[in-house]
Amino acid sequence: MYDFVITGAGLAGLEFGYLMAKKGNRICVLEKDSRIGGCLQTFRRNGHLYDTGFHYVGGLDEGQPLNTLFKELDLLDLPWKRLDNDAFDEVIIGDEHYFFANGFDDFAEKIITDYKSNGNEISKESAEGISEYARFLKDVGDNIFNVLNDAAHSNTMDLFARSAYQFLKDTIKDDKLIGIVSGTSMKLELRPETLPLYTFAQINSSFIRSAWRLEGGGMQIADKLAEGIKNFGGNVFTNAKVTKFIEKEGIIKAVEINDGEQTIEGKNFISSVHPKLTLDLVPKEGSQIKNIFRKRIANLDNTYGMFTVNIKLKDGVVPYKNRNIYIHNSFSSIWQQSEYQPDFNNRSLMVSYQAPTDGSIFAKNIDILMPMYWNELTKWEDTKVGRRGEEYKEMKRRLAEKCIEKVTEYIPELKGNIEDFHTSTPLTYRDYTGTIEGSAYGIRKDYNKSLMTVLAPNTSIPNLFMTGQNLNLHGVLGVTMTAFMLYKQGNF
Amino acid sequence: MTREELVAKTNEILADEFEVEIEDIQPDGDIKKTLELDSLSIVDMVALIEETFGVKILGTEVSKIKTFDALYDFILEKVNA
Repeated sequence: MYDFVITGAGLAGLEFGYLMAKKGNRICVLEKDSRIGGCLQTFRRNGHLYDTGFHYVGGLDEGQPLNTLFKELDLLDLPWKRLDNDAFDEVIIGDEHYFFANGFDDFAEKIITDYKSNGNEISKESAEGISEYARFLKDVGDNIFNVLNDAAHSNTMDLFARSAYQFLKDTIKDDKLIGIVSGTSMKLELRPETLPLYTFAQINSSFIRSAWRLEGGGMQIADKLAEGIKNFGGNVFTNAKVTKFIEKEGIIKAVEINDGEQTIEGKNFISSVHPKLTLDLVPKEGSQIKNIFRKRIANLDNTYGMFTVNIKLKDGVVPYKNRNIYIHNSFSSIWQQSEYQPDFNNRSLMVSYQAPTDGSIFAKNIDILMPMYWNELTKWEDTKVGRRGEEYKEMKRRLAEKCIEKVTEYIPELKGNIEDFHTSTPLTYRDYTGTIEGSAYGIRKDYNKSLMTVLAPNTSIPNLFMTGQNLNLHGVLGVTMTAFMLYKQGNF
Repeated sequence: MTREELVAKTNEILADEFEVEIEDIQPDGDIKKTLELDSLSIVDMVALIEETFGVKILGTEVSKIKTFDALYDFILEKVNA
């Protein structure tokens, strides 16, 4: 019998599995797909490697949050490449350019300098606001580990119950500056009506500390963790879809695989898939899980998805940039991206360069990412990968061309130098990773309903737990935090 | 809304959603025991009351409410605020 049976071999499932296996537990990780990795998956086409959901991480320098966690996970020896210290992100808004620098003081100073050099006047109050903003982010990030031992840590929950947008209004005051500091936040959903300050501050804080790419793609993280689990005596099975949790006498006794093909018994059961999907796997009859909890979870909204264009470039023509580029139409459009923008020009884009593994000064691949909404895709919601029809392919091709055209305005070398490109939509993510509506960041946290939307790892069944991006925080740091929260709080 | 109406409505939704008999809900009864609440389902109760009565309840407030009587008074105060 296994000590832990884990559903889903994405980042959280593998990290938790690795931590428990390292402690001497017998682990079994079950993945429905033919490949592990979830959002870390890379894919190969014509010999070239493309990333899917992984682009860069924050806070990996010595003593910083992700470093501390990755040290325990033995992930620090992967080929991490630090982005430029003085410009790890570039934010383009209309025709103004801003560069994000690492270090909180340098970050604030650079924003103010760039603001002036773009021809803007800054009030003393707003300049002080930027410095206060940077200090606040540092403080929030310094305290990230408070939730490891107490999921309901009061300062953390207070930040979950505060509006990110209102905080920026109160602190920075100047709408243009609010747009600038939010300009790299496509890695979360900027939605003024719901976004909690905790999510905004924690994620931005980690990248301002330091920002890193992984040479050779995000899949190496999943592979290393899975290999580690196996080396500690555990198992990682693919093509093993959990189709039922078998609950008897108030606890889960086993999981059923592939509609009854096999059952696997265990002492504890961890689900790293979406909470709604998890609860759907627990039969209602005689369950400890109340229907009201199921209904609440089923009714939670999910964040937007992503449209991605993976581009293979011709060799030796497009210079590699050791930073990301974010492109926005206007200062006000930045906080409007949680809703579908009918005017394509109003949609924000992110450009990510894949770090060359051969030391070349030229890029081989770039990815363009753009928020995409389920209502753009409902026409094809009943289709499966590779069988969605010509109209879908045409929609993707048109959208990709528009994205490439817009990015070419800022990276002119792209013109005539694209060898090939591939696209994916939230439907692709839904079908490969099982996230609801292909949501990029999972359940939408809402500062008005923080108690309802910030879920705890435990459930009403004492040996069934949840982990992953739908809980405390998303992103590589966020998901890793949820794995550690369960590790520390589970009292296993 | 009168207190009587509020009590009737509260009991109806709690009995329905938490799958207990309406007669089991007594004014001086312990909410947690009657509705078999754990730390997770308290949040469900708060969500249900917020949605039904259009009020906002803080986590710190709910932890002080032990009996149904206290709950009715609390909701009434919020509704009339």
